[in-house]
Amino acid sequence: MADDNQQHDFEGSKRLLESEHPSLVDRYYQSRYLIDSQSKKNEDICILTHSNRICIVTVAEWHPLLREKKTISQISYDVEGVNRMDNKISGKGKRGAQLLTPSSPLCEVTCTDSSKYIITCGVRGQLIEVNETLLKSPDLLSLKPQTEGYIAIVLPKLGDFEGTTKNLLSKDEYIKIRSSGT
Amino acid sequence: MCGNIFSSDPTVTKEIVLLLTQDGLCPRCVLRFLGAGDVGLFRATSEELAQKVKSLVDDQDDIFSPLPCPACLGILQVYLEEGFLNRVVEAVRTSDHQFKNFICSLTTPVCSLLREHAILLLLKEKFKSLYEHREVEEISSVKDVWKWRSGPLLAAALDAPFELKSKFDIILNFTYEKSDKECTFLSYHSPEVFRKRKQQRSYGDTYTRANVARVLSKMTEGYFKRNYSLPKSNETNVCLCEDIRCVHDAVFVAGRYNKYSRTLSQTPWILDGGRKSESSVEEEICGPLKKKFLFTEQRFSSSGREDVDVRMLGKGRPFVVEMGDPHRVRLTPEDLAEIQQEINKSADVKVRDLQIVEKNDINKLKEGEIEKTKTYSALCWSKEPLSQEQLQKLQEVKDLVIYQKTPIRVLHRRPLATRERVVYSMSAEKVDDLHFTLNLLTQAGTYIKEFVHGDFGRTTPNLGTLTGVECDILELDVQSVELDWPPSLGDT
Repeated sequence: MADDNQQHDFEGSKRLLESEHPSLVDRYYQSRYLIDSQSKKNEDICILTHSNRICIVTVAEWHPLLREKKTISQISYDVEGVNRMDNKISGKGKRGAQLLTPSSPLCEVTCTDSSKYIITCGVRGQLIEVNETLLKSPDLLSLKPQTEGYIAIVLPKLGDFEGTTKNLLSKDEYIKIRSSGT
Repeated sequence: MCGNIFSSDPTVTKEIVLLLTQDGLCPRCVLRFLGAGDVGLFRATSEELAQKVKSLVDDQDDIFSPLPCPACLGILQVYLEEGFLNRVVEAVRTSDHQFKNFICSLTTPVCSLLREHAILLLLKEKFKSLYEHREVEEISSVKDVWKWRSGPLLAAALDAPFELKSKFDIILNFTYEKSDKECTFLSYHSPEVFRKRKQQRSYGDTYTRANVARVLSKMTEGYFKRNYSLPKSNETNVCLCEDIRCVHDAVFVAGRYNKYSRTLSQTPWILDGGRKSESSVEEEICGPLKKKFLFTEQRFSSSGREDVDVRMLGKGRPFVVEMGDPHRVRLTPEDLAEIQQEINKSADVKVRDLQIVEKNDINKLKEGEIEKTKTYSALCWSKEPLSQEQLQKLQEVKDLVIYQKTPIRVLHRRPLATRERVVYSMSAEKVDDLHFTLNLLTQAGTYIKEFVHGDFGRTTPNLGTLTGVECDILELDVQSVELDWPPSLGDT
C-alpha cells in the first residue's frame, strides 16, 4: 500500500528533476521595484514580497553599489538620528516595532572609495528585523544582494499591503525602463 | 413525621407554617424552610406533602395559595407534575441519544437567591432563637428537592438509572423574565461588581449567581430589608422552561494517520470565504466517524503537523478526535475497524490503530510534540554538483545545533524568535548531478525546509553553509514521528 504511493510520487519527482530550477525567491516572492529612491539617480531598491504580505528590502542590481562593483567597508543601522538596532518587538502583533514609511532610512553603506549611500525602506509598515549579519560581513550585500545580503524585513499592516505596494514597479515594467532609458 | 426539622416544638412549627403559607409558599418550600432534608420525605406526591403540612397546623384547610410559590417560582409545583415530566421524557426521546444512565442539570433564575435570602431573614426576625445562626446552605435547595422527586419518576419512564456521575445530561433551563429587574438594587449597593459590558453576550450576563451571592454576603440585613421585599404572588410570577437540552459527554478516538497527497491540508483551509483545498485530513477522518458516532462538534488534534505539500509516511502521525455530544456511544472494536476501513478507501489518507481513548490521553499527544524526534526524507537541489566527499561529510554530522529565526513564511502570524534545535544525524544519496535525497533525524519542532535553503541566512548553520553550495528543497516527506502512542493494534 505504501509502496504504491511512493511509486506514484516518483513520477511526480521525475518531472521536478527534469525541469528548470526556479530559485527560492522565484517560487515564493514577487520582485517589485522602486527606482531612483529619494530622487537619487539609479539608487533602485528591490522589494521581495511574499504571499503572506511580508516585504524584504534589498538593493537592486542597478544600484551603483552593485553596478559599479563597489567594495563595501561598513554598514551601519544608526542613520539620520534613528538606530534601527534599537528595534525590539514582542508577540504575534509585533508590538514595539518601529513604524516605517517609504522614505524612512534603514541603513548607511560606506564604501572604500568614501562614497556613502542611504538605503530607504520603499514601503510602509512595521520593522521586523534588520540583517545583523551585514555588520560583520558587509560584503554579503555585494555577493548575495537578493538573499543573504538583504537589508531588512518589513510587515505592512493587514489591509495596507495593496496600498503600499501599488506604486512599486513589477519586474517586467522595471526591466523595460532600465533597458530603454539609461 | 417530617424527619429532622429545626423546631422541636409543635406550637412553634405551626406558627412558622402559618407565616410561610401567608406569603404563598407551596408545601415543598414550607418543608424546606422548616429544615426538612430527608430524601424519602420529598419523594412523596404534592397531595401527600400538602396533607403532611396541613397536619402541622391541626388540619386547617385553605392554607395554600393557588398561585405560583414565590420561593421556587413554580419549579416545585407545576414543574414536578406529570405534564412537565412527560415533556422531559419526550424531549429525551426526540433527541435520539444512546445512554445507559442519566443526570439532570437545572439552571434556576438568579433572583431565587434573593427570594431565599428574604425568606430566611424573615424567619430570623420572627423566630430568632431557631434561625439566628442558620445559613442558607442548611435549607434544602430547590434543585435537590426537584431531583429527589423527579429522579425516580424519570428513571422509570426512560428505563435507565439516575446516576450522579453519568455522562448523559438532561439540561433544564428555567428562566424568569423579571429576574434581572429584581436584581438591579444590588448594582446600587455594589456598582463595581456589576460592570455592564459593552455587548451583553447572553441573557443574564450582568447578574450571575456568583456575583449576586458575593454581594448578598457583604450586604447588611438592614440594607437588604430596606431595599427588597418578596414580590407578591401572582399568576405571571412563574418560571418558564422553554429549553430542554440533552448532551452526552465527549468521546475520544485516537489513531495514526498517513497523508499521501501533496495538495491536502491537515485541517480545513478556508480563506476569504472560499475553500483553498478541497478536503483535509481532518475531514477524511471525521466523515466516517460522524456517520457512526453522530456527534455535533469535532476537535482534531495531532502530535505536530506537516505542511500541505509534505507527505506523512511510515507508521503515521498520532492524532485524537474529540467528538462532542455523540448520539451513539455503544461502539465495539469491530465497529471501529469498520470505520477505519471506510476511511482507508481514500487514496490520500490512511489510518491505523483507531481506538477509543480517555480524555486525559490527549496529554500524551502533546508530549510527543516537544520531546520526541522526527525523521525526514527531502529531495534537494544544489546549484553545483556535490562530490561524493561532500555528501559523505554530511553523514559525519552528529548532533548539530542549529539556530532558526522564525521562518519568513510564518513570520506574519508568529512572534519573532530564535529557536535552538538539533539535527541528530543525516545521510545523502545522489539522484543526479544537481539532485540528491537527504535523510535527517532531528529534534521535534525543526523547520526542515529552512534548514535546507537557509531562509535568507536566518537559519544557521544550514545545508548551504555545510556544503559551501547553494541548496534548495523540492519535496519533503515525514518518515516517522517517534511517539509510542496510541498503542498499536497490530494493523499492517
